[in-house]
Amino acid sequence: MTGFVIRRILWTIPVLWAVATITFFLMHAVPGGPFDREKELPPAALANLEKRYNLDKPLYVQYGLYLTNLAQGDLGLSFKNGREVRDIITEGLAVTAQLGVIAFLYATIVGITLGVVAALYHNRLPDYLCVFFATIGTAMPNFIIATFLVIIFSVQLGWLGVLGWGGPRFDIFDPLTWTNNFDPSAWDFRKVVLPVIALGTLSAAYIARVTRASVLEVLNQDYIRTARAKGLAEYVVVLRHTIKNAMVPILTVLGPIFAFLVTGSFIVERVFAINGVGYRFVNAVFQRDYGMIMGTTLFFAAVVAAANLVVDILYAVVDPRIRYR
Amino acid sequence: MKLLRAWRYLLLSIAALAALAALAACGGDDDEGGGTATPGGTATPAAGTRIEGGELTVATVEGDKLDPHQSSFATEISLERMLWRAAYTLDGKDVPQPAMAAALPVISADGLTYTIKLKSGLKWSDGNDLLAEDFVMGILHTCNPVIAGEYQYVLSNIVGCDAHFANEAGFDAALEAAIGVKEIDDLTYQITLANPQPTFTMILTMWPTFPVPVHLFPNSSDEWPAPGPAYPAALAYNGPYIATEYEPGDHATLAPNPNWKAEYSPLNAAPTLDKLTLRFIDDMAVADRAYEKGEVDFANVNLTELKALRSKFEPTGEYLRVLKPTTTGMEMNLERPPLDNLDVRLALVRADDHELENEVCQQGGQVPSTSWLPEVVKGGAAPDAFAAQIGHDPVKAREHLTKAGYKNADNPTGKDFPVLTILVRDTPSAKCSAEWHQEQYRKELGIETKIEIVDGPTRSARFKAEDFDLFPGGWQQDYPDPENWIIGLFDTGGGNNHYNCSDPDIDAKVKAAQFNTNETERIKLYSEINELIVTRVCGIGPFLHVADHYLIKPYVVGMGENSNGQDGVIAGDWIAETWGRSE
Repeated sequence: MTGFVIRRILWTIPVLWAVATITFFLMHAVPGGPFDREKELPPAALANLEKRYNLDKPLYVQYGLYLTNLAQGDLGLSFKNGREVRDIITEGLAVTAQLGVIAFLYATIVGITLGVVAALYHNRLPDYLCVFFATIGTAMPNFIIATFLVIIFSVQLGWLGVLGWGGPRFDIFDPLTWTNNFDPSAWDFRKVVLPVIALGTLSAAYIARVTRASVLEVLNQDYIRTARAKGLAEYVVVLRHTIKNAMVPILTVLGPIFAFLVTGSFIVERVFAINGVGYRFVNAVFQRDYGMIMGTTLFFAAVVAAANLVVDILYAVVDPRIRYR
Repeated sequence: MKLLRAWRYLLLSIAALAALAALAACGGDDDEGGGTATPGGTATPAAGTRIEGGELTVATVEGDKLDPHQSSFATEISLERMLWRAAYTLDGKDVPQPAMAAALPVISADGLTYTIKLKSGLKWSDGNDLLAEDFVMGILHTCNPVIAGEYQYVLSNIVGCDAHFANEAGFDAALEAAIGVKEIDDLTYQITLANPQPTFTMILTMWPTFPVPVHLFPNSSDEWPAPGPAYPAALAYNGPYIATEYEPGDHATLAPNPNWKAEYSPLNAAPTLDKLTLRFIDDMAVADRAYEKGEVDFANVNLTELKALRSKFEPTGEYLRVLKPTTTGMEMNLERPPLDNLDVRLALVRADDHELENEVCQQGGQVPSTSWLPEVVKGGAAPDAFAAQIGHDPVKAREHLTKAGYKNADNPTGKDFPVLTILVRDTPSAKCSAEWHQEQYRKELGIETKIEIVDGPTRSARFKAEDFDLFPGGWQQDYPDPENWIIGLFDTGGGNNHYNCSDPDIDAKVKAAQFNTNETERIKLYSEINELIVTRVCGIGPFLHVADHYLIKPYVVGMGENSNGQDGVIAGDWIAETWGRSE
């Protein structure tokens, strides 16, 4: 297992290099640049700006400079405001990660619960309600859900907030200071509920569908019939024998869902004016902020690689038949 | 068995709650119906008696840079004018008035030398003296190629500024020393121009001339810090406010500058608020929800919801509409046949019903127009001034198309009209506008066009490369003078003239107007140029003047009253020292 983990970690290096290289050249191939404006810049101003950010150099030289800086852990500067990309990502990550982790917990708890209930009450009312939720949650885009939630619960009822994220903020993200996250007084829960529901509902619906299918399949297995025949209590059959054995397909989707949620959502962060990394990434693409595009793309690639690695390890934990050599 | 039942109830309850939440979400209705907007109509928020103190939270869009010598976006300039002021400032009628200067500049007889005397006792917010050297450094900083300021061009007429800015090797001490700006004494500095420029005092109100705190940044190449948490303490300010907090992407907090005096303001005002928070929100729809919830005291109106929000807030006096010095229109690449033919251009312009387009695509929020220069700009004309020449008239439009030899309902034997492409930005109103024009051309002229939707940078790059046929675009004024609407845009070879307008009559009049010190004659020339641009459709057929739409809480004073459209991002943000609360 240790060898497997080390091999997987080492493999992420060429993966990240490939992502960096492809992104770099694709980014420069797209029409328009960071200084293309509605009001065109005078040639001298444009030339000075390009010099300032090394855009006056040949592309291969820019690429070489970028890789050299990257190897030293330097993600460069944002072309828009001159800030360090690393600082921008870490600030955004502090918020996005909180939102993503809570949304992931919401999606997992609600999704698995609904999926199990639906399977246990197969073709009965609870099943139909759960399938209905799953269908709605999958079909309705999160910007619609977010907008409706804001209008109903914030503007009309006045119960919850419209702007911002209610978690404790960090000027500079430091994983060692995450103790703040567990202090309830540091949170404004009126600004937590809606973004979490808006972000997590699609994932909850998807998890519910996968869970339902997986549990139904396991419930039809011989060993479940045997467990019942032995007179085990239903909750023991469900919790010990059914859910555990149904977890492999669910875990398969949880990894990508976790990566999806903790890397932020352009839509949810925009609708709630949350200063997260997802919104900054999409904005960077629209603005051709090359520094930010490269930095955030690499960061997202690293998160996805890490999430997949964790899922692979969890496979072995959940299903002893799976072994890595 | 009991445990099993409880467990099932728990699962059922969670499932029911989740389903209810989904159903509740479906129950909303985003009704956009509402009253009809009247172009030109305005409402002023009720202004009560001002109190001392209080806080305001204002929704705005975050800018990129926070060094005025580098800035180009209205959002940046909006905040920068709260934090710094130039020697001069525009008053409510866009006339330059002394701010940090003691009086209007003394101009030499040849119009080339401006001597500026500062008020005595000026202080930066940190207590240091604000001196002539700080204003000199402001100009040197902008002319420095390392700083790469995007509005350096407004200082092009200062001797040596262009030469240094365009120096490929970067900063050069000798070139900087040759720039025509120097300190005479602690309170006096002098600027030398290459040509007499009637608008130069107005230029001295602009952000590229804001002072630099030399005690913090002693060299013109010194970079100001990027906007971030450390920014407020790293700067000194001479505007009505100081920055106390800056959280990128979220908010900035301002407090009154202790060294600001009311006499620096064109309205003799000093801040009365204890705290001003600028909440950065990119999406106007989100800002509007926050306004409705009471989380912000001011928000711009999302144009797609204009009618609904206007009908809701106009009766309470919270809606304000301000005409902004911006004109939009259909830009045409004159080097692409058949757009090189004036009759074709006239046919396209006259086929378009601006009034109806305003209702359909702009929620009635703008002002349909046939003039490039808005009426509020000197030399400008009323919106209907050229209705007889380019106003909506399908019959005349077909006559022009017939004259150009192309087939239409009135000329079935003419030649086929080529399919032109409308290059449009990926925004709801821009796409609506493109579809509107496509339909108008089809209906009135029987010609087909294609729509190509791209994002902002792609569209700008295509425009710059002159890779377009038809391009819904326009111009937003940088400073309130007609030259800003014409020079570089319609003269042959002008930097922003990508539609390739090349008209000897326009060129001759631009040449005669640019450095003309006879104000009456100068304005008359620009008025004539406006008429030539419009009637010859020299690159653009104007269709709308743009208005800003604001929501302002009734207890806010000084915002709506002092908004003249030049500010544009937040109502009255160019004189933000007047903002306050009445309760």
